[in-house]
Amino acid sequence: MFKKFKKIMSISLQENMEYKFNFITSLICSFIPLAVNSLIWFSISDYSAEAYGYSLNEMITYYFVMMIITNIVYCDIAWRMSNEIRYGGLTQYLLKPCRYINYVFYFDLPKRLVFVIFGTIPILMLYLFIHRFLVLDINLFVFTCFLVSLCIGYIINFLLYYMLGLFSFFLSEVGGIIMGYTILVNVLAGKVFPLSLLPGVVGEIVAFTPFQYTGFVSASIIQSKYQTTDILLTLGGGIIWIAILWFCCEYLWRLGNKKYAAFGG
Amino acid sequence: MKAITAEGLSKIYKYYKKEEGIKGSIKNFFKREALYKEAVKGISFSVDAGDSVGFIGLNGAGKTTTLKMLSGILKPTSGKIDICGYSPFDKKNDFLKRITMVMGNKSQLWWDIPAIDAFALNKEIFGVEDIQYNQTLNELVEILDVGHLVNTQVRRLSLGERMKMELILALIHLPDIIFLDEPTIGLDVISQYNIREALKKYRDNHNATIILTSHNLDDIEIVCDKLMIIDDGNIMYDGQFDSFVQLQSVNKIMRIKFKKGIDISDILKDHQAEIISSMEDEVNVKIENEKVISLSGQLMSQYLGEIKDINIENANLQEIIRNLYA
Repeated sequence: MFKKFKKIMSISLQENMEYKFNFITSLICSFIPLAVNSLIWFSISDYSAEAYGYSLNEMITYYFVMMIITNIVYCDIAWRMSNEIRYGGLTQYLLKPCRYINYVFYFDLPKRLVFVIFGTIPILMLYLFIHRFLVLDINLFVFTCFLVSLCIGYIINFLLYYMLGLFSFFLSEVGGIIMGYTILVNVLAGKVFPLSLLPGVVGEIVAFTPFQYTGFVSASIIQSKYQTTDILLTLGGGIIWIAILWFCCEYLWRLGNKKYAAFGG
Repeated sequence: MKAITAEGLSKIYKYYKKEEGIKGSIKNFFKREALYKEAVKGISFSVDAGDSVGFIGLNGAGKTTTLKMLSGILKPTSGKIDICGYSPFDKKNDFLKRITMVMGNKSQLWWDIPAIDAFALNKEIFGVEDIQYNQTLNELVEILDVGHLVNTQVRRLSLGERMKMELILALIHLPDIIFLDEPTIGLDVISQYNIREALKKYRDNHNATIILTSHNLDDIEIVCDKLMIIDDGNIMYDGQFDSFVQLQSVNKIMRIKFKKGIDISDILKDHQAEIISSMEDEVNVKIENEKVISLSGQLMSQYLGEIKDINIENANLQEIIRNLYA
């Protein structure tokens, strides 16, 4: 059973290794938000930790951690899925005794491994360069919860993009939706600013969405912004979201399959 | 034993009308007129296990749609399909392990990875045992003579080499039922020959059932023993390949070569033979099947000394199909 998933991952890894330059470029580009956002906060002359809930160094740490989280939970399956469904490439997966969602998942997962292999050294170098600005007090419990939150974050991000990809069954072009969603989720995941800065009701609503798991939750855990019980409750909420999204994806898949026209020969 | 049974199979595609230009696009944005195309119109047929069926028809006749419904990719609008006791659209794992589909215009290989990795992936996905995998791989690699290419990145292979790899990939789990959609499209004559021979050998070795669609009628003629002709979503012919050729070949072609120029126009006229082409020392005529013996007999008795050779040929399949659709 797992041998097939191992083999899918091995092929994906080999394919990704072919595009090392592409990977390095995208990694270096991911340093840009860290630099830009940090500079914006630096430019605020009357910055106060009380007003924002983060000291200036904590804020820079937030963006540093967010950069790592973003690279780990990153998922770009929707474009590929959209093309496969639109141009009939999906056909080959329907002919094999392996569920498409598993295929896509185990094909995307090794990309995270590629990040660990090729990204560790550049990020370590960046860390050494800016570590005097960073505030991180990590213990084993916090680090374990951080790792669990990353797994939850990745799965949620995967399911959200998988669902967007499935929209291709019903709409002939989903490129605009994927782009719009990506911009929106950057804000709702806390990549632009910490979600705790959102005012009252808006903050409470966003805290109930699955998007915060794709960034803000992991950053808050590693920055010790949660109490122990809050960590566990939040992670539990993430697992519930995984279940909800999985059912939605299953429903859309079944519906889409009936509509699939297998164009392109 | 029946391998495939289809009853009242139909498929209706829904699409939208779009008027020309930007105005049409804007109009479409607010109101779209739905149109329906019945690609397959309630066809019924059955295929015995071990048969090789050539499925032919013009572009848009419904061949590929039927093939996709048989393989479970498309859900039929109505009708029933039974393949070895399975309903294809349910996509049960046991069903998928028994079938395969080769599409000439769709690659199942990974562009940057050698074909051997794709074979190994299918081995795991289909749960093929190591011994069986090695045995099948060796058999197919030998038939197609591609042992030296399996470790080469797919993007570096020629179209013909890639198609051979596609075939190995599709057959690595030893399927009983093989659907092929234009497997020789764009290939040179040698590659076409290799693919056909490999298919024949696999079928004979494993008693596989083949359903093949192709516009290259040589594929059908060489690989298939049965023929199904589809036109505008309906089946026009379903039966033995040879019977069809006999049924449709009311004429034969006679090529008569002379040692020296003689005039046989009267004899040809008597036999209602139509001259297709004529040269100084050769005349080619089209003549009804039953008059062939009489004409050759008369030519031999009257002009034995002057005639160098008489060649009698069946009308070729391309010509028959062209006449059928005319």
